Amino acid sequence: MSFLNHLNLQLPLQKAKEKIKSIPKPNKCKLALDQITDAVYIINRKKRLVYMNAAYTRLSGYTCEDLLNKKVNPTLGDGKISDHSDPIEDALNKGEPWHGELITMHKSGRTYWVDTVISPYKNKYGRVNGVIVIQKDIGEQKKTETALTEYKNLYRNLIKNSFDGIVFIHNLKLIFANRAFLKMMGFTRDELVNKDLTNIIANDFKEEVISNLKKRSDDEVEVESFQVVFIKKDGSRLSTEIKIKDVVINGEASSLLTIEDISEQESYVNVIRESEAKYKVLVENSQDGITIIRDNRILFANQTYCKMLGYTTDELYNMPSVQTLHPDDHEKAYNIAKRRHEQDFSTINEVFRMVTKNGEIRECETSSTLIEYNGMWASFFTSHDITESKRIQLELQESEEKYRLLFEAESDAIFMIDTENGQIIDVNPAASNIYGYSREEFLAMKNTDVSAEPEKTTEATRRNDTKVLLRYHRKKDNTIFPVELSAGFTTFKNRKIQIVTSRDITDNMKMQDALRESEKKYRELADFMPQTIYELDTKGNLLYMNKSGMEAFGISEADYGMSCLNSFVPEDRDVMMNNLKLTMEGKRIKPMNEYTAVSRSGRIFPVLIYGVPIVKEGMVAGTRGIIIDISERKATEKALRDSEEKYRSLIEKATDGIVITQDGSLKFANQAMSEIMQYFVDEMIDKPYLDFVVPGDHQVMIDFHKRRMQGETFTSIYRSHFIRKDKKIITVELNARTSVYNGRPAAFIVIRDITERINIENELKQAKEDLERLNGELEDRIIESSRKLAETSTQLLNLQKENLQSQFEVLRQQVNPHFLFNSLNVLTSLIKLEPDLAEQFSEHLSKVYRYVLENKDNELVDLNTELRFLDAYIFLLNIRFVGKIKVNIEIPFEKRPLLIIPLAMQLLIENAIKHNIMTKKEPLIIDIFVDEQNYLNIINNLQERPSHLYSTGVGLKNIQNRYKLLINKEPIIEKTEKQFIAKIPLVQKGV
Amino acid sequence: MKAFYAGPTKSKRMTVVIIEDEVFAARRLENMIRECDAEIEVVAKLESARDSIEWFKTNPQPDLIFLDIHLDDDLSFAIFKEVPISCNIVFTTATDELATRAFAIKGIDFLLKPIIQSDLNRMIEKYRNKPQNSVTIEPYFFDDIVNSKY
Repeated sequence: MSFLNHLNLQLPLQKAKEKIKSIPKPNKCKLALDQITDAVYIINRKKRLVYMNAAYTRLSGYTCEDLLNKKVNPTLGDGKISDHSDPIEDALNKGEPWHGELITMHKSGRTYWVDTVISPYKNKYGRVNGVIVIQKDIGEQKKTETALTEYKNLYRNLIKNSFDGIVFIHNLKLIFANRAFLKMMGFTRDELVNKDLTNIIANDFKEEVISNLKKRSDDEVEVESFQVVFIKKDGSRLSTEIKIKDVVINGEASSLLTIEDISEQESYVNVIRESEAKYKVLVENSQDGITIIRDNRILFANQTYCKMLGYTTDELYNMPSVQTLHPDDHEKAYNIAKRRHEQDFSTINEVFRMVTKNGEIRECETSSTLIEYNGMWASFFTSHDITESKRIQLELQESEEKYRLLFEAESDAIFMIDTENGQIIDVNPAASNIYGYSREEFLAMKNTDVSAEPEKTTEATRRNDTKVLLRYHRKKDNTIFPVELSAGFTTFKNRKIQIVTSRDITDNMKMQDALRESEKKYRELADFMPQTIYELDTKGNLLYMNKSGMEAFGISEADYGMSCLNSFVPEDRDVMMNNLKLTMEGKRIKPMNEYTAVSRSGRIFPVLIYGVPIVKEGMVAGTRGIIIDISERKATEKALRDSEEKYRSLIEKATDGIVITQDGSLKFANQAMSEIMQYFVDEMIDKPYLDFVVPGDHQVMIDFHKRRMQGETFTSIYRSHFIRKDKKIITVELNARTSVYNGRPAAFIVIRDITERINIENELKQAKEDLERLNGELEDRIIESSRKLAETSTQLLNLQKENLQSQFEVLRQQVNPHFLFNSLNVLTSLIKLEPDLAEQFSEHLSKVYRYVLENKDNELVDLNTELRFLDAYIFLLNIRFVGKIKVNIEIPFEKRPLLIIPLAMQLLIENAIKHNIMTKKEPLIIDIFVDEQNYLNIINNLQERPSHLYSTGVGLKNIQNRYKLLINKEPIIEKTEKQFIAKIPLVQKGV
Repeated sequence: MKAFYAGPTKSKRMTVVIIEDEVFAARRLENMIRECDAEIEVVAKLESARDSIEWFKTNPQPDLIFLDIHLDDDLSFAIFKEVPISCNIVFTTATDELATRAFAIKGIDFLLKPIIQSDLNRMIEKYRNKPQNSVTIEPYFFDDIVNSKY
């Protein structure tokens, strides 16, 4: 590689000399120069380019045709070199070599850095004839290592070519020294020629040189080169390396010494070392792993690489490179190695799976090239761990795939739209299916192009609407169809985009229409319903009510939304709200409640409400139901209840026992029956009726029952005998009828316990007998009296006689059998018909008789006492002659103490009855009062009977006589056309 | 059921008229008649002579009349003077001599008040199958009774 290596060193000295001399001459060494890889060109004194090798064409892009013999300065770039505005100019002028880095312009216009050596060459007159420029591209970092090595060799060669001292010696006597050597040493040629070489060799090297040279001449050892320090003219030491070749000069064995000033070389080595260090830092700190491999062994690995695989530098050193590779990638590695072995310089990029020390696999992107390393070819690898990025990329890929699948699998059309301009960025296959456009067609469209309502679409996009329930879109074939849209917004690749899902709702719409139609039908039906039909929301607010309902409640559709509670009386509202809640919770499957409703007009009416929950999409959305106005029903119910109440109370409060028998058993018995029989009602129910009847009466009862059951209707009041709970037999009066009870024939029987009445009847009979007996006795007494009277001397005072007669009359009167029997007759009649009245009647009757008995012997009695008796008597009359007689007594309190003959008033009343017609239409009216003269007036209206029967007139006459005898004052009797007036004088007490 | 009550010749329900001025007495008598035989039809209850005359002018003769002598407005004898009565008559009276006299003189039955059921039953049975008078009672049939003195 060194420049000299290209020369045939075996040429004869002469030839060599020729060659050496010809070095600066381009034409002569063109061949050699063309071979080298460095760019070389030569510029003559006139600055014309006289030579350029092929390497320079590769470097600069210029060809010979471009530059040859042209006055150019291709080394100049943009003047970045401050000190040397033109190093070539300098070299031409000063004749001194220059080395540095220059920025140079390529033919294509780009600039690049070149390491440049400019060496001036001189003609034999020492005049600078031109410069040799050698350049190397240092622009690409990848070639750093190669460059480093090459520089080293290059410099060495150039120095050798240009500056090596060349000396011929013969027996240590210097016979030639070239100019370079002379310059090197500072001696003139004359000062050195024919002088002993050792004179200019430093003492410490003399022996070695002599020895070496001797060895060569003795052919002992072929010493080719050695280092020697020369002493220059100025006495300084010059380190050189001597290469020695045997030559024959002038027939004598001589030696050719090429002397290289290695002091400069040493300094270059230092430069290179620095450069090496610089690159080492670069290499070591590189983010990429860097390895140098030769013969499949790792010669070098940087820290990054070590770290990447978990090895130390020492462990990696000399390790077979395949050991760090996945077995499957070994072949790839061998292929690269093979290409490198074949001097393939190209950069090879390859992905390798590396194996770390602990067995993990890391994927690496590698780039390799061929370099010279330590003088031998080696592969230079940079490796970049892409495991992580690969993983992320993979995930990204998966994610993207996933979303793409979703995007494509979606049956709804999906659009990705740029919100800025509405441009469709992407669509899924469903969009093509639905709209009929291909994806490519879509991508040239805007969102408004698919809309049949573009303004609305633009507006919705502007508003960032996320949901559009109904929008009409247009298909490619111009069909317009309804869609439901849902939009999302996101940022994608720095663009704000809208992802719109579009669903074709044509079918939905049809269904909705059908539904609406159906709903309308039912609404209309509902409106025809006579009942109220309503719908409420969950809060109880009215959603719907049919026509009948609105009429009933007096509301209109304008009231939709109001609370239903407004239509009910306040006291019902809590219950209603609660029931609404229960209905909605479904707790009342068939709720029914009665409420009081209020219409707008204030009409209050009772209603029944049947409600069910409204369920929409699985959620309770309110209630729906029917309201039935039950005011009529209520009224009927009330009437029925009242009637029932009436009859029930009639039955319950009746004093007669009431029973219903059916199939021979008691089906019902009222409270009175229970009291009569002394059984509890429950004890009697379902018992055979005949169980309560004495056996002797069974046949009659059965016969009656049969007759009734055969449909014969007859009223029968008859007596029977019942057995009470206490076994006592009671007499009852029965009144039975057939009727229907619970849908089947039954007997309704009214039962009256007449045991007591019979007892009374018996008692009365007894009393009658007693009275009859008394009557008989009285008659006996009267006869006795009469007999006595007859026996009494007629001389007895008239008064006495009158008295006796009066007494007799009174007695007769008192016990008038008419009165008694009439009274008894009344009483007997009353007993059955009006037992209470009968009781009162007997009381009054006994009062009357007691009074008669007590006062029959009294001459006078006070009015008060007499009136008490009269009240009782009048009571009897009123019973006997219902409504046919009216007795008015008006006697002030202060007159009551006045005295009167007992029974006088009674006698007068009796007379009035006897002689006058008395009917309900023409009642007998008797007024009794006391006049100013203290006469008791007894006046009756006169309506005389046609026939006068047994009017003895004794009574009236008797009274008149008694008064005459007693107080010498007679009663006044007047008879007018209309009235019969009797005035009885009253007597003051003590008179 | 015919067998239950009546003799073989009975062909129609017995009809009865009560002439009685006392309301309670009339009702009692009616009840007692039914008690005796529920089949007997009380076709009328009359309170006065005047009402009775009106009734007999327009209605057919009953089978039997229970007749109180002393009526509100007149003696019941007055009726006979106005309308012809051809049916059987039973007087009802408390102690009226007129009735006893009518019985004694004219052979007209009477019941004493208060009427006793058994007496009534007997009386009804007596007249149940007795044919009606072939001739009507003469208008002044009772005059001699009224006018006679005891």
